[in-house]
Amino acid sequence: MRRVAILTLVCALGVGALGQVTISFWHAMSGALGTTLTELIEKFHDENPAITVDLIYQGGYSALQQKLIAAVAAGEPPTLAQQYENWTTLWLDALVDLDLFLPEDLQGEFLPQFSQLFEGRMVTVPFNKSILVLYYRPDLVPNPPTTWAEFEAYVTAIGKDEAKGIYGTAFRPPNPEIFLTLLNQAGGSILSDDWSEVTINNAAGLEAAEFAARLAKYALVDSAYTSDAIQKGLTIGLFIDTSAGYTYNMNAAKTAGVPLAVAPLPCHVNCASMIQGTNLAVFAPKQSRAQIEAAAKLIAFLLREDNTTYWAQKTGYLPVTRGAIYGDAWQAYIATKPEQKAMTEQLIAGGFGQLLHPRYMDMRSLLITYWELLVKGEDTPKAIMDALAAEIEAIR
Amino acid sequence: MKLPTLQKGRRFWWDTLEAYVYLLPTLAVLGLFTFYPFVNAFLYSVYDIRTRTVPGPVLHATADSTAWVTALARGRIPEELSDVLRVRGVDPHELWVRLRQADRWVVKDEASGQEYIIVREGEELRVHQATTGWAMESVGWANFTWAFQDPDFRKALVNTTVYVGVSVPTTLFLALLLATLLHRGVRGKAFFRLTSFLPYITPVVAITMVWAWIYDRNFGLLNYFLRSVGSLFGVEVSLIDWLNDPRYVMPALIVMNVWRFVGYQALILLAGMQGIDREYYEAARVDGAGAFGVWRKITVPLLTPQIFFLLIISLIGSFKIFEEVLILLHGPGPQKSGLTVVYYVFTKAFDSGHYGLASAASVILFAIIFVLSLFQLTVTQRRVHYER
Repeated sequence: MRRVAILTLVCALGVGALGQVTISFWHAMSGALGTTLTELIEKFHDENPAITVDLIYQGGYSALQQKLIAAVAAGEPPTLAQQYENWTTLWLDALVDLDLFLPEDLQGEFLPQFSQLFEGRMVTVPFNKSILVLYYRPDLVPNPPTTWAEFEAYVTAIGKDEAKGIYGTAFRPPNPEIFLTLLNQAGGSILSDDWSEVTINNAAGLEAAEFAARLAKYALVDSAYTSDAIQKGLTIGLFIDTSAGYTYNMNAAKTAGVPLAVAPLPCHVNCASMIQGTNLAVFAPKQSRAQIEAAAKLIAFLLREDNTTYWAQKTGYLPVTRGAIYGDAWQAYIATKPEQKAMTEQLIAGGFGQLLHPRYMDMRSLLITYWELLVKGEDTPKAIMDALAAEIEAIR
Repeated sequence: MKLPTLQKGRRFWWDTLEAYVYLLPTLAVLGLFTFYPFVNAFLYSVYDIRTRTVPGPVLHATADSTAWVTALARGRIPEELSDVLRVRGVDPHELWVRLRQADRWVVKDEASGQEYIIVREGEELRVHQATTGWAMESVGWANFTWAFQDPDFRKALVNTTVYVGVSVPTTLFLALLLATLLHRGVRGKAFFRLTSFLPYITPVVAITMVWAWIYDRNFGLLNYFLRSVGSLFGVEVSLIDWLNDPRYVMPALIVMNVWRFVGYQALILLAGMQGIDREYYEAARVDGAGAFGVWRKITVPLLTPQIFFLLIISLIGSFKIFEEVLILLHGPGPQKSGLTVVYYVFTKAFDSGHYGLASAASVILFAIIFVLSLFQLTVTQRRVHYER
């Protein structure tokens, strides 16, 4: 009798386990971001008891990238992972076309700013997205600038006094996205639409470079995050930074005992602002169809209106679907949060994504080099842009 | 060498076998983490390596492509493809589309995990077995050419050479002075010996974090010290941005590492000095030699085996500088003034995915170190005096 009972139990457990699918999800969300992600995964488990998500924190973005590179090379990637666009281009063939697995209504839900196809394929969906916005000191900048001219006027008026630690603005050399935003605002681009020509040094590119060079004369140029400078007590009048840095910048200002506010970027020819943050993609090697379907289910869950809104409210990232961003919950939330309202307006007004060129990783490396030369005033903007264009041409 | 015969040398063979058993763990670790990557670096340096789906032999070809393309575009398996693969023992119900492009599609067999790629070649569609993973395409010397044409690699070579050229002799010279002082019996000798050796045994991460603070522009110890000294003489010393100004990055790296290694090298030299026969010194004194003369004519020449050892070891180690750059500068430094060859290799492999280029750069670095070491072995060793 006892044997029969044991056998029945084993069979029952076995049958239960048969329908169980386990997927791995590699991410780089630390601290409060990681806690919120874990909360969402627990909620997913409650709704989908047949799926187990093995949520694995891999360290910062660099560590995640390096581990993904090694895992893909070894043929053992996770089921699902956060990734930047320029990483995705490294392992495009190893990814699953998500439009084959995601619900159709979700596919039509992404804001056009987030729609991106890699060689005609939908292999990623937006996840933790932020955008460049303007941070400013209300005591020094009573009305945030809305044009380049106003921006420059404020920066010049605040000026630069290194001995007193006062700077009109701040530029980070490792962050060429600021330049790409100015470039786009001036109507320029790295390459022509069909990628047949390097256009970064045309009239629009030069205008953006000259503007940045003029601002740089009054800027703190430092590789460290601007929040570090604020925390140390340096005065930065107004600066462009990602909305994902909101908590860090605000905390730094609080520590230093200075006010700080957020506004949409000043505009020029247009109001463009570069979208930052990672996407989600599903790897094919070593994954069964059931795992891929489970991963797609998780993606659909994370991007469901209530969850993407909750994620945005808790983390400072932006909701990524039309339903969520225009939904009652988010609209009610930003009605009481002017900073988040400014970020949302910025996204809708001019959010644009990364160039999905297979050599963008190398191009970005060049952009960092020349952006640094530009903001440090090492040469004339024209010479710098021409040299940059020549190097991009060589690797294009 | 004449090996003992099996009968006579049973003991020899047993001893040899025993020795290999003891060596096995070390050999296994070395083999896995040193020799295998070493050989592979050479191999990879002549390949373009990327993750891609590579077609195998053609299984089927068809000119009637419309029905195929329509079905595949909808994520469905074409009838004819099902038939083709059914003949090969594949259950069509297990097939699913995972990749769709204008001219190629990848279909996976769920049961076996095997992938099939359908490629459009002109008017024809061809079905191949496929593999997705690291694909290597031979490119000859292209990666080496790419490295030498890359301004970043050239900059990394120059930076590394400057670093080695300054830090190796400086460390050795200071270590020689320190060892001489310790050997002469200064007060608190044990304390100095301990404190000078501590940086060597402290983890490089900890050291670098401390130096990052020392070098901080606004709150660093170094600028504070310079300003304090300046104010003593009534001179206004402006703040130096040690880690953000390309002119100071390399000196900052050199100073930190000289400090880190000088104690270790001094200890090796001190051990060498203590091993020198006292009779040489006594004989020199009898002949009326002064302290500096004794040091120059006896101590230094008889220390040449240790100096030679340190020269080789520090030369190789310095060419491989990496962690300090990563932690102190969080990158290649302003205007890539801190970019070293190993950092270049690291970023090209693990940031950009150019494994072939990274391997080629590491092979070039190996060649440089190898030639320099060979030069030292053949030329410098002639000046090494071994005590007999």
